Amino acid sequence: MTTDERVRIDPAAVTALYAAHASELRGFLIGVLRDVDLANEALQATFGKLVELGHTARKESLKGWLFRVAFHEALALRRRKSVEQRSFVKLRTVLRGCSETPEDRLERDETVQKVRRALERLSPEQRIIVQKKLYEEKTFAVIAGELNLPLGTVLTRMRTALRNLGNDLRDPQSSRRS
Amino acid sequence: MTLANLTLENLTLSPHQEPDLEWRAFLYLSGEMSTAEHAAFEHLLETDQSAREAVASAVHLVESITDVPMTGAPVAEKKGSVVSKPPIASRLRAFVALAASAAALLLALSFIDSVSDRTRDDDLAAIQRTVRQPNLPTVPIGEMLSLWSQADPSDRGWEDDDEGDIESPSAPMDEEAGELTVPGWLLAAVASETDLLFEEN
Repeated sequence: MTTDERVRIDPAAVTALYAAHASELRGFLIGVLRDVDLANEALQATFGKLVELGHTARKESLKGWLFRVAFHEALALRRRKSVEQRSFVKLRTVLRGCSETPEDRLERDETVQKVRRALERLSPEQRIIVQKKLYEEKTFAVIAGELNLPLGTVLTRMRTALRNLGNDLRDPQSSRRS
Repeated sequence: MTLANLTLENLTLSPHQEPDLEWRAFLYLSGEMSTAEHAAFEHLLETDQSAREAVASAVHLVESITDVPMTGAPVAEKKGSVVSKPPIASRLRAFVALAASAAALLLALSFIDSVSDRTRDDDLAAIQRTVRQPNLPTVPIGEMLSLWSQADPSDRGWEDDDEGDIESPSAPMDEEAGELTVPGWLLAAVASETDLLFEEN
């Protein structure tokens, strides 16, 4: 075994880190790149860097190290591919092509039921904005125009709806709602 | 200030609703930040693990939500729109229906008068042949009209009370038919049978 091989991070550790953080990392990369394929490419590059340079990171901050490396990989990809970043994103369209592990798929089925219940618990005013934003993929400005509401009202309702949905998905028994 | 110029920084939020990481992450994810906000948030992503995890969380939340078909979402009503039908529309419809009934009755009466060279029996037979209403009383309408017109004015029955503020269409008929006041039940009966007569023709 060469000195470099002795120094490099243990493959078992890489596997464990992948199992622990890949899903969250992938979500982060999709958020930065707004493209599932590019996100997968950046994720692969990130774990390649982990194998190569992971031994230089402190164990207690490996997660942070991974995310920082992933972010830089994403920015590099963006520059190489000249991906426009500040444009409006059709979230549902972007996320529709998400590939996932069998474990993710199983977890998602359970989440669907939770989400359905959580959506039903939203007020009608919040639900219509969630529909227009996430399902009809409209900008907040367009939604405000269609509903003849101030933009601030639309944003506030969406924000409240997301908070309620997030709380319900984390804890379906939560009674704290607004 | 136009909609295009509105940014998160320019909006007045309630004091308890300071921009939080999860909300900012969602705005970043959906590309709804201004140039300045976008740059500032990406600068934060360089160093802030909470911000990075907020982005991941926003992606997963949106992914979970959009997996579920949105059904039964309420139809958005524009501000100031009326949800229930205004009373004037229903009153207008009732007035039109009554006016149509009155016109049909006039038509039926003029039809009876215009065929004076035919026998009364022929009239009744013609009307009976064209009327097909299994649920109505078996007395032919032509006979009803004939009998009623021969009755003493004091026995001709009462006028239906007006419902709402619709003016009774029987008032103009008083002049044309020589003080003939037509009860509502007769109007309705003639209208339904005459409609059938026109449909078949």
